[in-house]
Amino acid sequence: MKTTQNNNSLFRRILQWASESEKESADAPEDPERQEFQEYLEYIDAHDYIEFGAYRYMRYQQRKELGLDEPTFHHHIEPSIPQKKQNVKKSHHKQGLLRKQLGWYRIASVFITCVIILILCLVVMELPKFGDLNAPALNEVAQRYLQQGREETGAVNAITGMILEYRAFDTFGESVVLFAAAISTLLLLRTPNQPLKQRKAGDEILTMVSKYLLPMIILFGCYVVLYGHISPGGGFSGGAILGAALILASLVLGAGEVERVLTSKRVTYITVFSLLTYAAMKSYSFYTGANHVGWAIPKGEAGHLFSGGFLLPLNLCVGLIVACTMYTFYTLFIPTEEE
Amino acid sequence: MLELILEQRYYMISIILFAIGFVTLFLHPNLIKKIIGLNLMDTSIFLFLAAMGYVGGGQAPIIEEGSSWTMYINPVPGGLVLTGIVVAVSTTALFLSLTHRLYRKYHSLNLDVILMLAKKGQEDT
Repeated sequence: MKTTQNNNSLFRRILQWASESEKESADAPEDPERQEFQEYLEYIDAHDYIEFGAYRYMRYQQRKELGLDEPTFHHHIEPSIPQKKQNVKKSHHKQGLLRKQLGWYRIASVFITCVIILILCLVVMELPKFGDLNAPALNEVAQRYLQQGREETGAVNAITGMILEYRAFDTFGESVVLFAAAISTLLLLRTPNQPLKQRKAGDEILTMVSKYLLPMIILFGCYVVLYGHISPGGGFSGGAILGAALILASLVLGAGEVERVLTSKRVTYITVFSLLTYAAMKSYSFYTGANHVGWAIPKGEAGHLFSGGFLLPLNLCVGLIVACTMYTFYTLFIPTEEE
Repeated sequence: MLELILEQRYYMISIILFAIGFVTLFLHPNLIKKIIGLNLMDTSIFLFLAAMGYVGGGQAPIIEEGSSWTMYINPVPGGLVLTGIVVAVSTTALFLSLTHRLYRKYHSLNLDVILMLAKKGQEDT
């Protein structure tokens, strides 16, 4: 009974309900739901790994076959698998060879993992010591970034200078990966023209505290984005903070408050605009030779806000992309009216 | 031997995290838990990379003018971890949306049940 061992609270409540009704209604007419539940318990006794939802689904198919009462199925989704009434037990035992015999699958997977741990530990013993000065990873590339990065890029933060100046093309690819993930998630999950489920605004205390906290979170996010080339931070971390602030606002302010201002279309527009701006700026940089020959934008004095050439607008673009993508991921998992 | 393990403790911990994620990926039939296992593996790799970039007595690579520090940690693994985090977030979102689609179709998150139902659907059609 693997499923019942690590049951959640809902399952426990159902169990309690079943046991209680047994005491009360000794001679009362049989409750069909309870009967079904008992059948389910017997079923999971016989089979490992089965969930209540899947069981309900099978029962629903069986009832439909027999032409019994209208099924009370939660989801109004057309069942996509045509099914006949059949012995589930039989097909369950047709599973893979490894899993059939005494859980060989588990033993084998634990064994494989142990072997991998052993090999990795042996490799780690051979690695240079933690914090070793003469480690081969600390080669001339890293030394150049550290010694001449400040003059060449105008960034105090060496990592920002590295990812947005020396390796800017890779960072552009990274942003494109993020954008592609957002688009494919949108394609997979979007249910067009469906109103969001009406949610009540959250708890009173939580709402009050969040209302005072939200401006500060947004301010901090903006600071991390804008000062990414001077202090620790940058477009990715600041964008993540801004996205978290948007998600918190959407959770706390109730249904559709943020969605009204930031519709999914606008969010996509902002993302695409930022990506194109990034591409345009970096194209200009590459067009001029990528080594600051004929550089039109003054680099300014390192350590000031407006310094480092294109670093500040590039950070801004990356921050917008990350914030919008995080928010898009969140909005796609909000339940709509239908579900 | 023990001294060596203690010295390399960050690498060791990252390997243990990796193994936990690996076993979760293998043994849990629940798809959400498989995704959590994958994320654990990602995190262990980030820890490994960040530990590789450390230099004894080094500071974060914020090069201030006139500071007395001359030792800085390696900035290259920092950039690599940044890339890794972004890719991990993207793949997690993609996996979760695929899982959502599977749940809508089969009403279960259990991989065995999903495979069983899918096989049944294939046999019937």
